[in-house]
Order: sequence, then structure tokens, then C-alpha cells
Amino acid sequence: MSQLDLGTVYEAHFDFVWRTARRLGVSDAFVDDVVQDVFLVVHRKLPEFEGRSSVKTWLYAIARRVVSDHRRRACQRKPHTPISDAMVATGASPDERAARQQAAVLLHGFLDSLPDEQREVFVLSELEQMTAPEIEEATGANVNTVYSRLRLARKAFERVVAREEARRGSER
Amino acid sequence: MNDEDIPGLSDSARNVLDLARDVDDPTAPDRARVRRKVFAAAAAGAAAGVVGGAAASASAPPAAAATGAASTAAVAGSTAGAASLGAAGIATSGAVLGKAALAVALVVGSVTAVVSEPWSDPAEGEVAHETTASSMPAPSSADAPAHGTTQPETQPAVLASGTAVLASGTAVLASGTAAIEATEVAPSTPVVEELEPPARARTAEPTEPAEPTAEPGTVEDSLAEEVALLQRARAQLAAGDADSALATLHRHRALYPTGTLAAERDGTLALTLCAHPDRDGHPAARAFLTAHPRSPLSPRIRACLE
Repeated sequence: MSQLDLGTVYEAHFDFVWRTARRLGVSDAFVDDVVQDVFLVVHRKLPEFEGRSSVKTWLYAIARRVVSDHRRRACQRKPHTPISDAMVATGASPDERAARQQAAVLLHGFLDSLPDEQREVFVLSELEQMTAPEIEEATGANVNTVYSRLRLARKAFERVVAREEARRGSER
Repeated sequence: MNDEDIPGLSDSARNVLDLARDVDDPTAPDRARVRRKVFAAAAAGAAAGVVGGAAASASAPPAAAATGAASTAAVAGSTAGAASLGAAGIATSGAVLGKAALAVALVVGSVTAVVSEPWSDPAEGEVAHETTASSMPAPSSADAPAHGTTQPETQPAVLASGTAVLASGTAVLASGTAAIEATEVAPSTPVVEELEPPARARTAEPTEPAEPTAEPGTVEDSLAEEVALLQRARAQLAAGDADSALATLHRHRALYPTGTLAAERDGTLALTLCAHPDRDGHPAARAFLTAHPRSPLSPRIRACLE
């Protein structure tokens, strides 16, 4: 693992760190700062990284600390409007874009409503496809706790989706 | 996750996740912009003394201006960023003119840049101030409260990056020349337009306290920021949020009145006004078509006049 350098880590995992910051509730205006801080910590700590965990879970552990510090300092955790290339991709039809936008708003509203510990488990499991042992490594919570948080978060998500479907059904 | 004991998600919940999966991904300009900041700060040694995020933010502007060791990567990055605009619907062809020439030749239809009328609206006073500030290659102390942090490590970082400033001086000069050349080939037709009173749109701006575009920087910084702003505006428009799109476009106009992407901005502004439920986009659309009849955006703008 000694050949790991900042450039390699950045190229391989920038997207993950960026997504994570957004999904943990960092608003658009602060994503740059938070992601930058994460990689500066990485830069400083890289020599100590022993490869006992995967780079991704190590990065996540750093990112969640930076995000939490950021939140404490900024005292703000407002929902944000998701923006991405995907939504403006020329290949997507207006209907597809509208569907994506709706899904994004729904997901972010849901994430904002979750307790932090459920939020991160849901993000890592459902969106980043991490396994329970990986989430244990990334968050420090043991596997059983991870499962129980995931169960709660999934139930909450099902409720939100069902409510949204009912709402749309009644609009038609 | 292998979680056989937990009920899996229903198809409709899974569907929502699949649709929303990509929306948090960064864009190419995001990648390039942050890369530049990270590597400049790391090269300047700011990382050694960083406590939380404070010093990182503080050290980025001078170091980024210097570019230093990160310059080659940053150039490549910002070019990729500019090129990615093509995917967003703006026909942009980026070409890097060697390492020294940081400017990207943007060819958008027959139009490269537009010289706009100076803004005489008194409400533009604060904007003029912003523009001035953004052109100064010095760390803005006004940025600090916006980030909500204190920045005790600023000074060493500035000193450390001094060498890098000297080293990259030639490159910056060269890029300046290239930028001027790029501007000169453009038709300097003044666009006479009254698109909308900017004060209205600006009411939405306090929700974006730490706008990354307000940063001082070099030519390629500006371009990356222009790209990022326009991309954001287009995303906002695509998301049906015309008010935010207008605010973003007005910000672009305030920061880069004659920027490289001024024509795209004006075209997008016309489209946004056309899409806005409470606004009349026709004057802006007609003004744009008069100034840029052959722009790639023109067919769409023409369509909203029909």
C-alpha cells in the first residue's frame, strides 16, 4: 500500500467523497470546502494508512468526521437541490429528467429526515452497495447495529415512497 | 449488503433509488476545480498545519493562483471541464494550446464572446464590487466569515506558495496573451438588451453564501467557474427551477459580463425567461437572435418565439 499517493486516491475516489458529502447533507455552497478538507486530511494521514481497511472505508471515516465538524461549525443542515450532469444529459428525454428530478428530491428529503446514524448506513448500503462488514469498518458500528439501522431506514424509505405514490395517484 | 434477515426494498423503492443514484455525482468542472484547490493547498504545505477545514479554505486562493506543481493537472482538468459542457448541451470545443497557453479556445457556433453594455442600473453597485474583488489575485478576507471559520494558518500558506507564484509567472503571462487573442477573434458586437432587472433575481442569492465563483483566479480558473455557473443554471432550468437559474445567470453576468461564455449565458437567460411562468422571454429572445443568429442555441430560442 506504500505506493498510494494523493493523486491516485483522488482520481479513484473523488466521486465517492463528493457524493458522500452531498448525501450526508452538505449543501451545494459547502461541498467544495468539505471535499477539499477531506483530501487534505488524506494527504496528511496517507503515510499512516496501513491498509488494514479498504481505502474506501478509510476515506468514509475521514469524510464523516469532516462533515460532522463542518455541520457543527456551520450550524446548518439544510436540504439542497440536487444538481448533476445526469439531469441535464442531452440523451435524457424531458420525462426521464423529470422522473429523475422527482426521485432526487424524494431521496434527499428522505435522507434529511433520517437520524444521522441511519442515514449513513442507508447511503452506504443502498447507494454505495457496501457490505455490512464494510459499513462496520467505515462507521465503527458493529454489524448487528448496522443491520438494525438499515432495517429501520428501509422501512422509513418504504413509507416515504408509498406516501409519494399515493399522493401522485390522487393527483391523477 | 447480504442481509437476508432484513426485508429487501420493494420494486418502487428500488426504482426511486435507481433514478436518483446519479444525481449526487460531481461534474467534470467540480472534479477539476476541487482538484486544483486540493493539490495547490497540498503543494503549498498547508496540509501540514491544517486544523479542520479552516486553513484549507484560506490557503487555496493564493496557491491556486500560483498553480505551481499542480498546474499541468489543473490545465488538463479544466479542459476536460470545458469539454464536458458539450454534454450539457452547449457546443464547446476545447483545445489546449500547449502547457503555457492555459486559455481554452472556445468555439461556439460562430460566436466566441460578446461585449455587453456596461450595466448602469444602480442596483448593480454591489455586483461591481464583487467583480473588482474577484479580479484581484489576493486572498479575500471577506471569504472567511462566509465559510464560518477562522483561519489562523493563512499566513504560512501564503508565504509557502510565494515560490510557486514566481515559478508559474511565465505560464500565467502566456495564458493572458492567449486569452486576449481568443477574445480578439470574436465579433465585438454590443448586445443591446434589457433582459430583466437584476435586483429581483438577486434576492435569491443569500442562500448561497460561499459561492465558489467569487474566488480570485487565473484565466483557467475563470473559465472553469464560468462553465460551472452555466452548468448549474442549466441544471436548475432542467429541474424546473427558473428562479434559481435566473439568479445563477445573473451571477455569471455580474462576475463575467464579457466572459468567454457570455453568449451562452445570454442565450440560456433568454431560454430561462421563456420558461419562467411569470416572465416574458420574448424581448431577450429577440435580442439574442439579433446578436447571434447562428448560435447553436438559436433554434431553441427561435422556437420559444413561435
